[in-house]
Amino acid sequence: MRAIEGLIIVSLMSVPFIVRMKGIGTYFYWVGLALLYLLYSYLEVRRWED
Amino acid sequence: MAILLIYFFIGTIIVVYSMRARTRDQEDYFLARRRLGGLVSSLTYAATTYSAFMMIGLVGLTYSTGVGALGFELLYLVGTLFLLRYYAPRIWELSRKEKIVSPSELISLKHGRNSGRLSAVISLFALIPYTSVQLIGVALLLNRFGVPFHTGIILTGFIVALWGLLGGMRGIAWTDAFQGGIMLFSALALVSWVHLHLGGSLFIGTEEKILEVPNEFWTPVKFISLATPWFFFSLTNPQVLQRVFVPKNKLALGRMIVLFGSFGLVYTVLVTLLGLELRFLTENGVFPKILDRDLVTPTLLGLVPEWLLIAVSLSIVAAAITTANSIVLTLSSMLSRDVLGEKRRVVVGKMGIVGLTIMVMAFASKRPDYIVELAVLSSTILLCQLPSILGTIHLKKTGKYSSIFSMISGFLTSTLMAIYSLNPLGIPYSVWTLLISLSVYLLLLRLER
Repeated sequence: MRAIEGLIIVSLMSVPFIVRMKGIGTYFYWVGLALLYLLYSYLEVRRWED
Repeated sequence: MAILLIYFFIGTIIVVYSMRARTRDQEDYFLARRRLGGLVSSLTYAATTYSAFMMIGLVGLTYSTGVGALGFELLYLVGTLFLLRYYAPRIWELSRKEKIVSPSELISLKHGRNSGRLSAVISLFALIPYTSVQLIGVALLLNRFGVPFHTGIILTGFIVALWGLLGGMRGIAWTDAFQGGIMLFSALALVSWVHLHLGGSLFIGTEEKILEVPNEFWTPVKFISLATPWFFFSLTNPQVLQRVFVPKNKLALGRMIVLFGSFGLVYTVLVTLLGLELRFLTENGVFPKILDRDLVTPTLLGLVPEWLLIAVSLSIVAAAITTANSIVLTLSSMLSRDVLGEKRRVVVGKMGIVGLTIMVMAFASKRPDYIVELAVLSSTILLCQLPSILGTIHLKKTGKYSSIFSMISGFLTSTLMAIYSLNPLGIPYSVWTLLISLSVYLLLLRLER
C-alpha cells in the first residue's frame, strides 16, 4: 500500500514532464501538490500516539 | 565583522544555556538524551538539511534553468515526507529499544559490526568533502567583507567545533533552531525587497521556456538523475537519519515531520520564486544578465541595502554552519562508536569532533580541484547504504556479506561512473548505483540464507 502511495506521488510530481506543461501553471501545480501532500501528512501524523 | 561577532556571541550563549546539566554519556551527548521537543527537532532537521546551496545554488539554478529546479527540490521534499511518515516511527522505536546512537549502528544491528564500520567509513569519505565545501562557501563570503580566505576557514571551523564540543546534539539543535529562523526571515525579506524595489510581478510574461518542462536543461533523464539520491536523502544521509532518534515521544516525532515539511515548502518556494523573479527582471532589463549561475545571488547582494546584505550573508553563514556542525557531530558518533568501538566515553566523541573539524578545515583550505565534484557526488555515494538500511527495518534475518558487498558495489559504481561520466543505456549513474547495490544485496542475501 505504501509502495503504491510512493509510486503515485512520484508519478504526480512527474506529470509536468509527461504532458509538457507550460507557463505559470507548472509552478502552481508543483507547489499545490506539495502543499496537499503536506496537509495529508499532517492528517496522518496527528493520529500518532505515544 | 561586528555582526558576525554578535552572531557568534548569541550562538555561544545558546550553547552554554543548553549545557545546564552535566553530559552523562554518549547518548546524552550525541542525542540530547532523546528528549527534544517537536519544534526544536524540526528546526534542527531543516537547518541540517538546507545548506548554503539553497540561497546561492538553487537561486542560480532556478534563474538559469527555470521552473524544473522547483520540481526537483519539491520532489525531494515530498519524498522525505513520504519516507519519514512510513519509516521514522519504526526507526525511532528501534533506536530506543536497541539503544542505537549512531546511524551506522542501525546497519550493524542486523548485518554485523563490520557492515556498520564500512557504512561509517563510506559516510566519512562522502561527507568530509561536502562539509569542506560549506566552509569554503562561508570563507568566500567573508572574503567579500575583507576577511582573508584562510582566516575565514579557521573562524568557521572554530565555530563548528566549539558549538559541537560544548553542547553536543542539544547545543547544536538549539543553535540550529535560532539559525533556522535567520534563514527563513532573510529569505522572506530578500524576496519582498526584490518584489517591492525591483518590481517583480510574479514573472508574468517571462520567456516561456523558463516556465516549461522539459527544456534544454531539465530533461526527464536529468530530473531522475538529480532527484534519485535526494528522494532517499532522509534514509541515506546519516546527519538527518540521526535526527529521527532525538524527539522525546511520537507526538514530537510527528510534529518534527510536519513542521519540517512546512519549513521546507516555504523556504523552497521563496528561494525558487527569487530565481524566477530575477530572471523576469533580467528579461525586462532591470537586473543584469548573469551567465555564471553561482553569481546570481552575489550580484543581487550588490544591489540591496546594507541591512539586507548583512541579513542574507548571515543566513548563508548560518545555513553552512548548521549543516557543517550537524555532519561533524554525526560523523564523530560514527567514528567513535562504529569505527573505534568506543560506546561509553564522551571524551572520545569530543576528540572526534576536533579531529574531524581539523580534517575538514585542511581539506577546505587546500581546495583541491575535485572537491566540488566529490561534494555533489556525496548523496549518490550514500545511496549504496539504502538496501542495508531497508533490510534492517523490513527483514527478520539478514546476512553480513550481502550488506558489505552491496555497499562496496554501490560505492564503486557511483564513484567510477562519476569519474568517467558514464550513464550506460542512457540511465543516470545514480539509478545504476541504486540498482546495482540493491541487486547485489538481494542476490547475496538469498545465497546467505
